[in-house]
Amino acid sequence: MTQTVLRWGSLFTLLIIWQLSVWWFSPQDLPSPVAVMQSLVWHIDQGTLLNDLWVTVTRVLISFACAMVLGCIVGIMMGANRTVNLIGDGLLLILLNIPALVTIILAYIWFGLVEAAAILAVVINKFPVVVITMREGARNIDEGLLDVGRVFTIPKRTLFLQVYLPQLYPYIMTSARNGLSLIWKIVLVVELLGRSDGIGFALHSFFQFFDIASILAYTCAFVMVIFVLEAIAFRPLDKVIARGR
Amino acid sequence: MVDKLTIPEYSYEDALVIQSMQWSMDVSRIAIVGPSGCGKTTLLHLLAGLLSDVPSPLIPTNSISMMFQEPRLMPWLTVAQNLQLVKPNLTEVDIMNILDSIGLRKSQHHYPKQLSGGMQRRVALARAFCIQPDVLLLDEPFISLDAPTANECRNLLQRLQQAYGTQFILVTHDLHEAIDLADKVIFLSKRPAKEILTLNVIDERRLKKTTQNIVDQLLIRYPNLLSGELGK
Repeated sequence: MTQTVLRWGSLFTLLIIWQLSVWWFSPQDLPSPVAVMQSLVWHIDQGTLLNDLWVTVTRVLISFACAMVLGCIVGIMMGANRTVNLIGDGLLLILLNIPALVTIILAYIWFGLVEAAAILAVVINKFPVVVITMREGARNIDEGLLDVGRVFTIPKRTLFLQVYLPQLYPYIMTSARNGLSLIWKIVLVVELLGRSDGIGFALHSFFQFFDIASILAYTCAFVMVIFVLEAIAFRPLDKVIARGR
Repeated sequence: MVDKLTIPEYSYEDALVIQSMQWSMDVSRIAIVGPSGCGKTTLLHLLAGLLSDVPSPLIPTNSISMMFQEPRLMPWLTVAQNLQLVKPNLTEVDIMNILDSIGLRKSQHHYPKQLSGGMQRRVALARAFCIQPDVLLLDEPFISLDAPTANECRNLLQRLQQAYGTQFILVTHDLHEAIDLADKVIFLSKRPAKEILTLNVIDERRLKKTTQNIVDQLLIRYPNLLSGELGK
């Protein structure tokens, strides 16, 4: 109960402060929460918000899945094997430090303004961050527990799924959480630069008209999606992983 | 039952850790006693096939089991799941019987973190025995427990050993524990480890000696035995 009050209380306070400051100072460039809400309703009802949202969320989820799977595989290999780590370390450093904008522009130039180029650009941005976290996880694997598996001749598959992987779950969760927030920010830039649909593209048009209410409305819509994801995916998964720890 | 064991020389990074040895293992309960750092754990790992440079077990049997210095239960699996991990075909009834025998009937759905150190050791013992191994290796399994809890665990070990008829090799630096639990005690020297004395506890027991008697006599005769030396 207290948890719920605290969780929602802070958000509610933010809304109140926002509304009050609009009343008191009546700034030109900041619409009130009510105005944003009206804009949101209008965009859902008359505009293309739901479609834009759908397009963007799909892009986010596809690139998220690709970056996570690739990052986990490479990260585990680098953490578990010194040779692989030495080969990959320099490349990883380069990938980590190339600005997102550069990968996006290059992907569009080399592969054209196509969906695959957009996804690829996002994946290249996120993938090295996953690798770093997973490598750390693989380095912290408890060999003692694996020895149990070896002595009792547990089959390789079971050993991986029940002894090895559970040790990495906390690292996977961390990179998934960080990942989602990073990815959706990059996806918007990708859309702004080279797609003709999605939230990023829509924001671009609002920018040209200085339509601040719409910009905030779209942001709110996406934040809500993230809240839903957190509630239906991340928090239940946290509970599963916390078992016995 | 394995009745003879040949242990080859073993070196790690050019330093000799274990000298070659021949053990006759004509009894089912064997203890290995040696000073700290003499290579006891390495020896057990060698027997179990856990050393990366000697990956196959030295013990000539398919079913080896081991209990480590720590319980090493999987923290994310319940007690019942931990047992099923090493023996997947255990039924609900089997698990209840096993847990009954170690006095943990109510803990089958508990996670290891919810159990005390002694209880975790008991689960680890049950796990070691439930695969019905030919040989069980024990690496100072009760070392970090308080005395009463350690005694409880030793009694349980004796009980399970008799029930399953498993041969065990117990590594320890505790002379009392070794003589209490074993039929035969092999004493090792300092690193590189080498057998320096074999004590037949069964013979001593025939003379109606208590554990304390045996320990006292042994230490009077070989005062430096526990440092791995026979001389005075």
